[in-house]
Amino acid sequence: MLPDDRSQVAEDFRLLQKAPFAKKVFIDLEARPGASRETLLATAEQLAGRLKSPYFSRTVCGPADMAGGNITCGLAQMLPSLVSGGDVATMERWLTPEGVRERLRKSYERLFTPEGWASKELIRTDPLGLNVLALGRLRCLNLVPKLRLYGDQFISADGRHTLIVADTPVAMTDSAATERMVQHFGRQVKAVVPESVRASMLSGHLYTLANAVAIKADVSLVLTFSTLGIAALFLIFLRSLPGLFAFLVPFSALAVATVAAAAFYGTLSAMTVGFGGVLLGISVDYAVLVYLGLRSRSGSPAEVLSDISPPVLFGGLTTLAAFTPLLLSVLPGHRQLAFFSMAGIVAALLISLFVLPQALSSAPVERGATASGTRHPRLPSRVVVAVWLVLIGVCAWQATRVEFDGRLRSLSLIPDRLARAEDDFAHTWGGARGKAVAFTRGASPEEALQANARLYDYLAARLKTDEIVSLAPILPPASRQEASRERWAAFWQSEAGKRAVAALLDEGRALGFSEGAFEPFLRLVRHPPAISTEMLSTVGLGELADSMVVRDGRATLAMTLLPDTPAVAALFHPEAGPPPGTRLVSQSRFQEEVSAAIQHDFVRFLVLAVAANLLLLAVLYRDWRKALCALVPVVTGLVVMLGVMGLAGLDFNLFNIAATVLIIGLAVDYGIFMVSKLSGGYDHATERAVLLCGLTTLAGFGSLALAKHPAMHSIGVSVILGICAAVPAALLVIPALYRGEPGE
Amino acid sequence: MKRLLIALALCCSLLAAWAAAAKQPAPEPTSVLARLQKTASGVKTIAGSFVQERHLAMLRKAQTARGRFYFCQPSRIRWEVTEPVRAGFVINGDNGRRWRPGEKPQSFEVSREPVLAVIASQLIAWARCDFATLQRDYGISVLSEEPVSLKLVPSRAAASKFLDHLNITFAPGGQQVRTVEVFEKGGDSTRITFLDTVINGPVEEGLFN
Repeated sequence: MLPDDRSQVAEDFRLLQKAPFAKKVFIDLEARPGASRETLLATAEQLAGRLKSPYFSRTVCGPADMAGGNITCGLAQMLPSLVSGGDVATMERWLTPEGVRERLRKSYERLFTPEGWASKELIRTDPLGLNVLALGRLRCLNLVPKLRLYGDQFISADGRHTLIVADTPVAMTDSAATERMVQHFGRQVKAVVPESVRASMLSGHLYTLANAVAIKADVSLVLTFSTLGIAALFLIFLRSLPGLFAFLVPFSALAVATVAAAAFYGTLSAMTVGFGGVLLGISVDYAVLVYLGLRSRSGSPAEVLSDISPPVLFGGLTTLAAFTPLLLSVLPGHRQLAFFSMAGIVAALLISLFVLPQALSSAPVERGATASGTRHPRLPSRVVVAVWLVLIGVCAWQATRVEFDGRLRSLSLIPDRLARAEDDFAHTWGGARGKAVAFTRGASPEEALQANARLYDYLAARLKTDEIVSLAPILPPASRQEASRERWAAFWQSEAGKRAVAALLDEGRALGFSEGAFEPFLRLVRHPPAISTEMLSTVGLGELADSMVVRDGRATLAMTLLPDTPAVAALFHPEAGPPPGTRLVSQSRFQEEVSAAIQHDFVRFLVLAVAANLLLLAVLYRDWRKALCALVPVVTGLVVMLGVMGLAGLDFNLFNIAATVLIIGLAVDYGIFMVSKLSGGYDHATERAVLLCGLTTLAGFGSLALAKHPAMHSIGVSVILGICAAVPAALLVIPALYRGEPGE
Repeated sequence: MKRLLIALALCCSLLAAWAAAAKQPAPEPTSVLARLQKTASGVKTIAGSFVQERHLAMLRKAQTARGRFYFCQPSRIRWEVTEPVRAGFVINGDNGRRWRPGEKPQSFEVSREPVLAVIASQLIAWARCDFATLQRDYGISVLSEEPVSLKLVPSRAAASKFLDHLNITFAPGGQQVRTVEVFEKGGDSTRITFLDTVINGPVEEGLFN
């Protein structure tokens, strides 16, 4: 239920999937009270070792697993390609002969300390402690703000949690494979995780699974409830064996629709299948009108069919017209749902008009079969119209309070446990999963890094640097690196640099360092290397670099992570002058875009559906007043639906669009049936048919309102509201308006 | 960071060895380790001096230092070099303090100092003779029974890139550790000799503040 066209919304959704950690699986282990840190970390190692193919391709418990190395040594090696003019000035100030002696002495003394055991290579590579000039740049790599290290494993700031980050080949949209992955995880947890440790998994896959489970359960509920509801209504209203023929028409139509949609699309979404229950309620209308008309004995079968075929046919055509705009939707789910529904409606029409009469003609007419439709006392026309106008007015006023809701959360089910898990993760590890991502694109990795560096310069001038997660400070484009190396070389070739090297060697001899002790450092001075993603891998930053610079077809994308706030979004507004070629994508912006798309689609669908219906009504009646009367249930249903939503504080989302289309298509049927009856002067149990049609539609949509999935529930509630208003409008207001017509 | 294991092994293995002074050498590693662990279970405090000699290719001569160490159950450690420089650290649970030549003492959270965090964890494991934990990091074998001498070979890939093995030798009788030798890949080595060790003696609380 997200766009698959070339719209910006579709592109942004595609980009969101490329964000770092978007496809990772996070496993949090928490030490319960009484559990030691050693138990926690050992359990994490054991569990990570058991999470294997085909569900997990790689698990990481700490930087050592990521081909890690000594970060400070790595920074020392990267420094020549990072130094700024300010850094060189600092080096000139620090590296006087006295400064060199002091710094080297500190390095020598460090060898005596316990930490000195880990400093041997650093002292050889950076005896003068220059790596601190690059240390500040690491602030921009703080992707998981509350992550710490204990040994070579991730640990939380409070020391009670450890983290396993896993890669999985399971696609996020594959609910069946996700279920198997979750089961595998559960088995491994049971095998190695003790009672004193709690393990939980978090990833986008779990949302897919939760929705799939909910939809499957809802589909069963919807189909069962709607079938039983319709059967009960038939038993109450028809109470005859031939009524079974009419009862079977919607099920035949459903079968045809399912086969046709499956043949066209290959696979059907669960949402479409669930909509089958609704289709039962829609397609039964034609069979009900034909059945009651033929069984009313208000004329010969041929006469009855002659009277009711046009309204049945045009009723079907208007419903089809209402669904047609959905075929143009950018949402593949809407298109499939429209095709499915239209196939079912066509099948229902054909069966109702051509097959059902034949079946009924051979059935004996039961004694006591009613010849008339529902009788009800006539209410004064003016009172009815007045009440109707007041109702429309009040609901129209309340409808102005309805807001469009583009939140991703309202498109899918988010179980409480998942929402809590997200909150717990953010609280324990920081908001790594909820950041906005700024993309820069380049035809080559170098161009992408150049754009990335320009973006970083722009953002650093406007935000605090610890709000920005970017590779730019430690992986500048080659052009900037070369400029830095030129500055580095110029310093060491200057008098100050030469004095510094001489002082280093002299003091080194005095302290007892051997001749080749500082050879790694001197190599850096003479032949500094360029920084590449491979170099970043040797110092444990390769995983991060790979996740923030990715291929996208033939282009390369570089990513910068930022807080997802309106202030940051404002920096990317064209008026703010961001660097060209940058695109900010985030959950909140995506919601705004989807919301705008919803509104655009709503207006488009509504206009097209109403226009198509007006055209069909004009063809049917060739009288604008009759056409407008036929639209009374439509207007009433829509206005009351929106009015009640406004009154109840319900938001309008993607699925309410589908509901609006349904109300138009169904309500106009009732209007056509009633106007045709009143203008044709016949009574083929039309009112009873309209009432039964309305009730069967409610049985179909009522079942949707019972669904747990927010999408299905949303459609169900809104259509119930609309139809509950449309049916009385058809039965009461249209006759009242007709009784008020001059000459009628 | 991987070299931290060298430091930790040095500092900690001694404490554990003393705490678990064996009365009778056992013929098999399992029984030796079990005996050591049993002896260590009664240790509440350890205090003593050490002499550290580092033989590094980057230095023309061996680097010699002297210092003191203290351990107090369950997780308090003080390790300090007193000559020729004054440097060291104290760890008390999740918090610590360190001092270096020419710098002011600094407090820190253990979880934010990965190098010292690993040192602390290994120190405590050795002080408690927690061989279950230690055997996750090392393969332990008995080189000799009298005096007891253990050889530890790192089993983790990260540590084994830098560390070749450790030798821990006890004094005759096995009541205290005499030396710890660390052999690094590439030929560098460190030898720590322990002196004047006192088990379960009084240790000032203020030493761990």
